[in-house]
Amino acid sequence: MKMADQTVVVLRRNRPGTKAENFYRWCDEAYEEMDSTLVVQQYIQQTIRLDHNNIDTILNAPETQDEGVWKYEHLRQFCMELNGLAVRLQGECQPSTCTQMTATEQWIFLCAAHKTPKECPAIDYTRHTLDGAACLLNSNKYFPSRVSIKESSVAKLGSVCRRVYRIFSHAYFHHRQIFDEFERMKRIRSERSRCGNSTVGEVPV
Amino acid sequence: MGVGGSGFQKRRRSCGPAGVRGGNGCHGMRLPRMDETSSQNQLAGSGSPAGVANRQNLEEPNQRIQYSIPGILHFIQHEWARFEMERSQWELERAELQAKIAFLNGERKGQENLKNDLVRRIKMLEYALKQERAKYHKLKYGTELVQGDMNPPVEEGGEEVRVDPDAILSTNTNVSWKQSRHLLRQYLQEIGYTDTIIDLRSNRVRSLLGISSGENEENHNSTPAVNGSDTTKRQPDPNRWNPQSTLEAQIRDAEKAVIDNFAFLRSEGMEMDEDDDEEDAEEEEDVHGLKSPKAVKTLDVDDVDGEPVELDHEFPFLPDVEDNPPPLRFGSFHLSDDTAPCEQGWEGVVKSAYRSFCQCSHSPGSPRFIVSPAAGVMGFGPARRGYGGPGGEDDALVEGLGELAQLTVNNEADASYDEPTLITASEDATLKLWNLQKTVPAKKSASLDVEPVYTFRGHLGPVLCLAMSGDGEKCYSGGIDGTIRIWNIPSSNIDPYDSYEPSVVAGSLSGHTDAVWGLTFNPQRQHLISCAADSTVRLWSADTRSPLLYTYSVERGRPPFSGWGNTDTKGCEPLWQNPEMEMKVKLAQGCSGQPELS
Repeated sequence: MKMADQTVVVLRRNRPGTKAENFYRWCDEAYEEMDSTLVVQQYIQQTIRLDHNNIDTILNAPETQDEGVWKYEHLRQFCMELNGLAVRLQGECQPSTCTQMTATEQWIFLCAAHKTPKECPAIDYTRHTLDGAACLLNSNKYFPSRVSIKESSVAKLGSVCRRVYRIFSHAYFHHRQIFDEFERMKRIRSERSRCGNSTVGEVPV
Repeated sequence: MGVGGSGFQKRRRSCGPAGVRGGNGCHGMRLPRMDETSSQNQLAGSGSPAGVANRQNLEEPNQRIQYSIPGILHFIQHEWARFEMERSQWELERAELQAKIAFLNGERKGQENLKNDLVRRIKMLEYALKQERAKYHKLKYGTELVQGDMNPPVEEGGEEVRVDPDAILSTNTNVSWKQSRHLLRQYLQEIGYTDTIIDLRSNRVRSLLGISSGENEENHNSTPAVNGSDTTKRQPDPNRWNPQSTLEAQIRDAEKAVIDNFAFLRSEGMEMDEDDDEEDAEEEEDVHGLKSPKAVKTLDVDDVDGEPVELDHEFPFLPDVEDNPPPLRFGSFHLSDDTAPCEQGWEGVVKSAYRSFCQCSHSPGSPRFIVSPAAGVMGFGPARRGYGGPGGEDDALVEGLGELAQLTVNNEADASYDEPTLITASEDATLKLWNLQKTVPAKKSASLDVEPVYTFRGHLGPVLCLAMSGDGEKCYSGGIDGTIRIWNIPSSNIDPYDSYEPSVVAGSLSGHTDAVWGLTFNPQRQHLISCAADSTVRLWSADTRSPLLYTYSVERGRPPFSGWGNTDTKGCEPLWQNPEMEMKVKLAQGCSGQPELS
């Protein structure tokens, strides 16, 4: 973004060749000054980078922001980060050990990514749910725009949130070590459970 | 039936004692009665009245023959049932026809609305065009252009969006631009923003997939106003409806936005790119023409067509990087450098276009990054959505190559050579495999999505580079974590929601200590070359147990990105630059297997 009058411009770019430690080293911008179509995602990522423990800042939407879009972008970010957990689970969560997707003993979760809900093993549930969430959040049909969300699609956010949260529960109960390690790194769960609460209403665990 | 039968029996009996006189009649009657029995078997009611009538004709004197109540009732019942059935059939038909009528009405209304919208659009375009012409003329000649009918098209209820010429001409008028953008957004919502977007996007998807599409909306884009001689070259043949025209349009838009000095215009263009709103693209083009003729010298991509080799000298490059000879780089980018060209030409275009643009952006002195049109192209959808979905060309313009990691942003894309598959690697730490021939069936035919077939998970951080093996069976990806992972590519026809196959993960090569930024594969020798931010270039052999063959360190600077040049049987030519200078390193592999530097 180069302007004719040479004002300070933030180039939010990791140039090829950037070292890993230098990634994302650009100045922070205030929300109002951001000028792009993906302001919300940018802003969320920025606040997370600043301090991933500061859950309040991360979750509070700026005043002018549309609620639906805010939730959508948070869910998006959530799914992205959850990939990391899935990668770690991939090694440990085998279909032979975790044959069903459960958290506590009472519930078995069926995978909704198939035509008829199927009882997938935990690792499959995780993969399918994350992939399904990605497809849904990216689909033209339900979310054609990122600056305004259709009313009919807002309900989908809740169900995606719910399913994705189950991945957390399973990891918490069955793969505690991985969960703790991941949680320490990312502090996601507490944050997201709060966000999830607002979206879904009531989240188990 | 029993009742009718007994009634029949009664009649017979009554006929019996009638004697001779009745006998004949009886006999005569017996036959018809036989028939009546059989017909009574099907429809009891109708038999008996006929029988009754017959009997009455033949045996008038026999007054003892009565209608039997059960028979009559039966008859009535059956007639009633028949009538009811017929009536319900009629009702059904009526309902069907009514539904059809309603549907057709609805369709007609829809068509009318569409027509109205298009007409409105045309009017707006015309108005904008006239405005621009006036402006241009005024600037060029200092006088007013005499034009008939400069009135903005009258809308019923909608507010006309005027582009204030003064605002454009002055520098840095973000506020007014924001306002007009906001107005425009409202207006777009009025006219059915989302639907239009879906239509446009799906058309684009179709075009890129090679599916012929009836409506040619992109042609709007291909008739810009001719302002100045420099822009004449930019007019592609409007009749050329091939995948490249879409690509060109996007590339053109992308270019113009970047090249220009005016950020607000670019940001406008960027957003409009996302919306693919041609009217603003038009405006922007014209304004560019006005602004500074030299800035209008855009990368001429008219020559981008099916054969990737033709990305060549036709690029009148950015004015302030004239010292930078693009042709070498562009010329050396052949998708088909080592294997047969892609079946689907557009993939080659995408890849080579992507690489070429990466190259431009890395020329020293040029602080600008041009978005990978691959990113733009592949990312349809607000996020793109990956293809369909993924990411859009929106963010990438300003934010760099997929910085804003949409779920499946396309930093890097690699196409398989035989099948229409594509693998993309993204900052969200996944790679996704796409089957370009499989689109998501949608009830609304307007929205066409392509969804990933498989997701490769393994990296613990953004994936920065990608290379395919020669046979298309394996792929290699390098990420910020310094590892290079090998993947066995599953078939592109699998069910996306299949069970997890651990065999897809085929290992990982570690050795680099920092982010791996470039990968290339040499199929003749089955070697993989990687360069990373730790200032090393490593040569790997994928098959052996100790894969790392050689490490080459660069003393000064670091090799951020390799423009992978020719890979011939002898060696491969990674080119890289660092901020200080350009360095071209040729790694020729002699018989000893040691790379030589030149």
